[in-house]
Order: sequence, then C-alpha cells, then structure tokens
Amino acid sequence: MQELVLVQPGRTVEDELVRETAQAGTRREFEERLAECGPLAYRVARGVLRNTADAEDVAQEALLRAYRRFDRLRDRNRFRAWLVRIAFRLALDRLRSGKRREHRDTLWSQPEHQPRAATAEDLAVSNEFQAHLETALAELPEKLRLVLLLAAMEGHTIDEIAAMIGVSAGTVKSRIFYARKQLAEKLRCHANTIKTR
Amino acid sequence: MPCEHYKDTLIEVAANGLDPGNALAPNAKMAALRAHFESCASCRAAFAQEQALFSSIDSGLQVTANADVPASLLPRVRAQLNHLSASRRSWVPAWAVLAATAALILTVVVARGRRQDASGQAPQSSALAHADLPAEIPAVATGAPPQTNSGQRMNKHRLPAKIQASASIEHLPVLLPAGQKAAFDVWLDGLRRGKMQANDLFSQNSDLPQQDLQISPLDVSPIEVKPLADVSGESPSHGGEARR
Repeated sequence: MQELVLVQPGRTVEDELVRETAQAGTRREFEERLAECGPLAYRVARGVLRNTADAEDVAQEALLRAYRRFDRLRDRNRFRAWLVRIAFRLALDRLRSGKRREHRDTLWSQPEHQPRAATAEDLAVSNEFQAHLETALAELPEKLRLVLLLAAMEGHTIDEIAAMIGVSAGTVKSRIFYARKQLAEKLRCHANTIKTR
Repeated sequence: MPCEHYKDTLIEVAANGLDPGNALAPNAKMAALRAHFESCASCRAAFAQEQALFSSIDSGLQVTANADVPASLLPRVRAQLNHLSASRRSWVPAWAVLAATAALILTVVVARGRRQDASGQAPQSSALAHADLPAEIPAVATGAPPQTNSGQRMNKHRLPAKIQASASIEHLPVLLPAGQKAAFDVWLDGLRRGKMQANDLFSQNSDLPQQDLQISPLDVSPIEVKPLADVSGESPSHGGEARR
C-alpha cells in the first residue's frame, strides 16, 4: 500500500537550501576543531580503557556524537570540555559494559602492548613500573583519574581543567593531590623493588 | 622526636612538590619538620626517595596521558562524517525519479478529469467529480491561477469554492505519497516564482494529446421484448435460452 505523508507547502526548496548551507557551515566549523581536539578525545578514552583499539573506537564515537550534537552547543569555546566529558563518559560505559574485556586483558599482557618507556634513565620509564602505574591508575576513583589524566595531558592548567569538568580550581587541586598520593601508596613497594634490583 | 612522626608530613610535602628544607613554615608543624629535616639524614634520604617516586609517577602519567594517537583515527572520523553528510543528502539525486513519479500520478489524474469533463456535460457528472477529489488537489492550492482553458475548467469543476476562496490556502497541509515531498517542493517553488503554471508539470510530461478527449456515444441496440415462453418442466440450464 502506498504510504502517504503530510507535508506543509509553506516549506520550500529555499528552506532545504538554507538547511544544507547551515549543515555545510557546521561541518566546516567542526572540521576546524577535529584536528585539534581529536587526539584529546583519544587520550581521555585511552586513559580510561588502557587499550589502543578500544580507545580509538570510543574516540571516534565521541567525535561523531559531538558532530551530531554540535548545533546544540551554544558556546563553541567550550567544545574541548564538552568533548572531554563525552569521551570520558563513553569510555566509562565501554569499560563497564565488559565487552571485549577479556580480549583487552589478553592484549595488554602481551609485551608489544606494554606502554613504551619515557626515558632510559628514570625509574618511571621502566616498562614494569609503567604497567604498575597503569594498573594503579585504573583503580583510582573516576573523578580522581580524570583530573589526574587531564593535568598530565597536553599541558592543561588547573583553571582549564576546572572549566572542563565544571568544578572549582580548588577542587581540582585537591583531587590531583589525593590522586597522586593514592598512586604513590600503591606504587611505593614496586618502586622500591625495582630500584633495589 | 622519632622520624616516624614526620613520615606522613614528609609524604604530603613531596606530593605537593615542595621542599621541606626551603619551604616556608606557615605553622608549628611545618617548622618542627623543617628543624628535624635539617638535622636527620635518614629523613632527607626518605624524602628524596618520595620525590623520586612522585617524579616517576608524573613521568609515567605523561606517557600514559599523551599516548601517540593512531594515524587512522582522524581519517576514520572524516570518513564517517562524509558518510553522515551523504546519507543526509541522499534524497537530492532522487529528485528526477520522484518528479517523474509525481508527473505520472498527475497525468493520470488530469486524464481522468478531462475524460469526465468531456463526457460529463450533464450536471450529475460534475457533482460526482466533486465527491471524488484526488489527493493531488493541493497541486492547485497555491493560489496561482492556471492560464489554460482546460486548467481553469479543471479548477472550477474540481475544487470546492471554500478552498478556492481561502486566504491561507498556501499553508494547507497536503497529503502526498511518501518520498515525493522534494518533487512537490520544486514544483511549488516554481509556481511561487511565476516560472511554472499549475498544470505545467503534467502537461510537459504527459504523452497524452492536449485536446479534450472525444468519446463517441454508446451505440445501444433496441431491445426486443417478447412474452416469456412456458418454462414449466424445463431444466434450469434452459432458463437462459428461454429468457433470451
């Protein structure tokens, strides 16, 4: 049976052209931010998921979601903060869903997926310490983990982080302090063990 | 005082990235720590170890937080964006198909209307046409008067006077076959700009002759009436012959 739809003749081709022009403008504006903020979305996701493939999937999903809802973002200057929240939330959802968790753990235990060392001399650069750090980081409460990652990421200042996650600068400082302290407690024995070898 | 007493304070100082030997002493606790620190080599060594640990943590966090981004990420996202945009525009190239479909429907409707106009000179034919308005009536609901005689006649016969006189007729909702909105919009836009007339769309696409259809009157033979024969005792199969 032929399906009939109810349309309003008041809307013309001009409306469609205006809509398409607006879409093209949105696309252009989004593209300008994509190169700058795409890596940020990936790094936030990776900080949560600790897996390259999952983080890439989540970053892509976050960027597409941001594009679809880009028109709803009134203050475009808050795009970074907005994207960080989307990526973080999606990454947490992915982590909780447990999908591919077993596969991820298997991959992570393989030597080629171990995080690379930062420098040759420092204790922190040893792959073993880095692996312990990643584990300890994953065990932190979500709020502390996000703040700590953002603080270490792309040179964000305290004020920038505060604006991103919508808390005061004092709260950010406090969370960073407690996060580092908790990490130190978890890693102290590993650091001593590695150092005394 | 034993070194264990200062352990927590030393850790906090290290976590804050301060140096107890140089830090200001805002309270008595810090002042005591500073005094002890300067005199205790063991605490200085422990503090150095804590500093190294936090330095290691910070370095490790830098590595984790600034991981190399896969080169495939942005191309993948751009490809998805292109796919999204293409799917939003996918109806545009189908205009030709939609327009052809709309033209076909309108042609059929107009052909029906002309046939009714040609054969239905009697008043009851016109009345029947009013009762059988097709869904494409909004094609003339733009307020633009058709220029051809046949178009005028069609409007006059097929549109209720109430609709013809309506001032807000351009905003009447229209019932159309699904997927033909775009073609309808193009046509309506042409009407508004004065580039098209109400019946241009179907007249340009119609293969039917433009003149009114001529239908010859029916040739009915005179009926011959005969009295019925006696059918009693005949089988039902012969009844037809008897009536004939």
